[in-house]
Amino acid sequence: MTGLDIAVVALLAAAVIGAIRAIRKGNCGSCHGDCARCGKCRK
Amino acid sequence: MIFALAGNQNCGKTTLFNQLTGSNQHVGNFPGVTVDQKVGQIKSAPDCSVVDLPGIYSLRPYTNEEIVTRDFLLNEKPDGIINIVDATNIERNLYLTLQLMEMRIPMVLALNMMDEVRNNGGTINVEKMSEELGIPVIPISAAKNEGIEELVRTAVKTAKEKQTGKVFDFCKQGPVHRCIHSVCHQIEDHAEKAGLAVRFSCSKLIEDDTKIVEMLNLSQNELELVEHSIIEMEAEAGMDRNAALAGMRYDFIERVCENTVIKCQESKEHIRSVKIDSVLTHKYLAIPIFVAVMFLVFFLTFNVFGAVLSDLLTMVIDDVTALVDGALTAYGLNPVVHSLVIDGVFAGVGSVLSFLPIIVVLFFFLSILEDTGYMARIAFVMDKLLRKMGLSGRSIVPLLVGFGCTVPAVMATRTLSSERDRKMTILLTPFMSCSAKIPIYGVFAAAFFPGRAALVMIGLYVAGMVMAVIVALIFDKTAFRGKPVPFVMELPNYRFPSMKTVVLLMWDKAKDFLQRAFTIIFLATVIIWFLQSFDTRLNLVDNSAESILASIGHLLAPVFAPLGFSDWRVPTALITGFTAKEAVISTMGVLMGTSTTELGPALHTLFTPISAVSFLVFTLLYTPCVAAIAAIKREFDSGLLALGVVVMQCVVAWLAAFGVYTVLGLIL
Repeated sequence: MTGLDIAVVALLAAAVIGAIRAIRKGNCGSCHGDCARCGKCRK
Repeated sequence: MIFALAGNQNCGKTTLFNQLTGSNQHVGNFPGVTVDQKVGQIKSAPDCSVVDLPGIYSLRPYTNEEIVTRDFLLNEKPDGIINIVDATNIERNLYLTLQLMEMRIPMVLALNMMDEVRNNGGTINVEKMSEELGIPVIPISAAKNEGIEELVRTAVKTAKEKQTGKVFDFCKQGPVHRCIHSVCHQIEDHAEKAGLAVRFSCSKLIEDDTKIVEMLNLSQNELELVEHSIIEMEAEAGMDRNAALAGMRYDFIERVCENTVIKCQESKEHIRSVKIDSVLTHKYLAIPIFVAVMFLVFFLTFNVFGAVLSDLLTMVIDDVTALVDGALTAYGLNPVVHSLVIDGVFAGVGSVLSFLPIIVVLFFFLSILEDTGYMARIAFVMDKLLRKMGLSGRSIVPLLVGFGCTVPAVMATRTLSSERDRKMTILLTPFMSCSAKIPIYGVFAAAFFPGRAALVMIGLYVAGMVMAVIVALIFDKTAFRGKPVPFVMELPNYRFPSMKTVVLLMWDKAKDFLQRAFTIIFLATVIIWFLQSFDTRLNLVDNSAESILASIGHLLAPVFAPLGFSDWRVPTALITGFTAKEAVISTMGVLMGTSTTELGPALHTLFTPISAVSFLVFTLLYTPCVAAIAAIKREFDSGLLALGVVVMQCVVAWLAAFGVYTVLGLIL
């Protein structure tokens, strides 16, 4: 693997971790913009 | 410090909350928009926060909204209450004000919509009203951001100095007065021990509020003495206890208003609303007009504005993908990593992103309808129809919300006072096709029914509603026997939609859609790419038919063969729809190895027009996403019932799709 390969893989890994963390924090948009109504995203 | 924002429905609470906090909570023009409290920091008083409570007409714990508000005031003990009152309907609004005053929490009255009162020739002597009520009264216009600073200053001062109202004895001499004061004397030590205001406790005791009765911890003898006083009052006054209490409050309100309010003429807005309602809520015209309006909304979204913008965005996404592809090839990126980036992430996320304009345009039109006040009329018009299904008109609110997303729709059922109505409505909301399915409908409609996208969309939405009606009729005769509760709601005046509200809602929807695309959809895409690129021994495969995903897909394919789509890629895509419905399309994009523009034509290798219809019917009706299931589980407080919903939806979807495929196959 070249340096570029490693950089791209690292970027993708960071994106995956960021997405998982966002979902755990309730920022996944699972309420289609109505998060405040269910209270999940605002707690 | 914490302030509670309390008031009737449609009096501008959430508008005021948004002005105070600078946030953009959703302001709906029909009851049931706020189902739970929301907290925000006051911009001009950073050490103070305000809680937007659901709109209620009294503190009697009849509906969940009233219970939420009462419990918040009792348990959280806010430092102050900001009671917002619609100045154009002041007598009705002051009914709640008197009950809040009885709680002896520092309070400020915000007289909202004062601009409308003035424009219609009315006036309110604010100083005199403040003197008569014994609390500060501040005229404001929440929509125009007038008087807000003074309101905040006064509220903070009142709370800091713990100024409880100077007036709390509203009764004049008579049987009600004697009863209330007698009961107050009997319970004052209990009220003090329970940390409750005496007058408030007395009112709740007379109204038979079981929570307050429990908190007071009266002995059987004391309860009997109290009951005896109340019975004597009822006999003397010649009416039941609740009517007597209400009469006492309204007498006081009448005296205050006589001295302080010069009534406005019937407002221009009201006269205009009555004229418009004579058409829009007409006995025979109302529903055809509603259908026509919704058809226009869908036509403009899917055939005109949304379609054009979506096509433009698709071109941009494809160009960007080609550029990145070229660059990665030129730089000699590892083929596996290259495939992950282009065939995985770009193909998957890109195919969903192209639907952003359609989502935004659709909610632009829906927001206009809501902001003008038309959605409230739909609730009113649909009541008769819903009663035939065993529901009350109030259920239309969660069902309409379900067209956006099932999660807040399920939450909105908290506004239904009847447990039977609430459970039945929760079970029906998944049949309202949510906006996450729009990418699926859009791709298939464009691929198999070009030029008729709007018709296909409307057909699917109507099919979902028809299925909901059938299921509701079945439930009404079986699991949910009983009558729906009466439905009373306020029709707000029609008004021009506020561009700020509309744009804020569009931005909310767009932001949320993008969040979903780059979280759930992105993760689903990566996982799907991995599963379809490697076999069970983790070797890279050239042919995805040999991958892990294909093994899973082949297990499920026979289930879907009778529906007309037995290729393993289709059930695999349907499974990913469990995470988020948009993932069905992103998964298809990854599995077909196509760009966004090529996905539609590529689907012709998997579907015929008839099996495409069957597939659309299946996606319309099958299980909602995991977020919706979690919301249902929370509201039912039962994982088993939530699982039951999943099974029910899948079975109904399979049967409906099978029926459609078989019938169309025979006819065509």
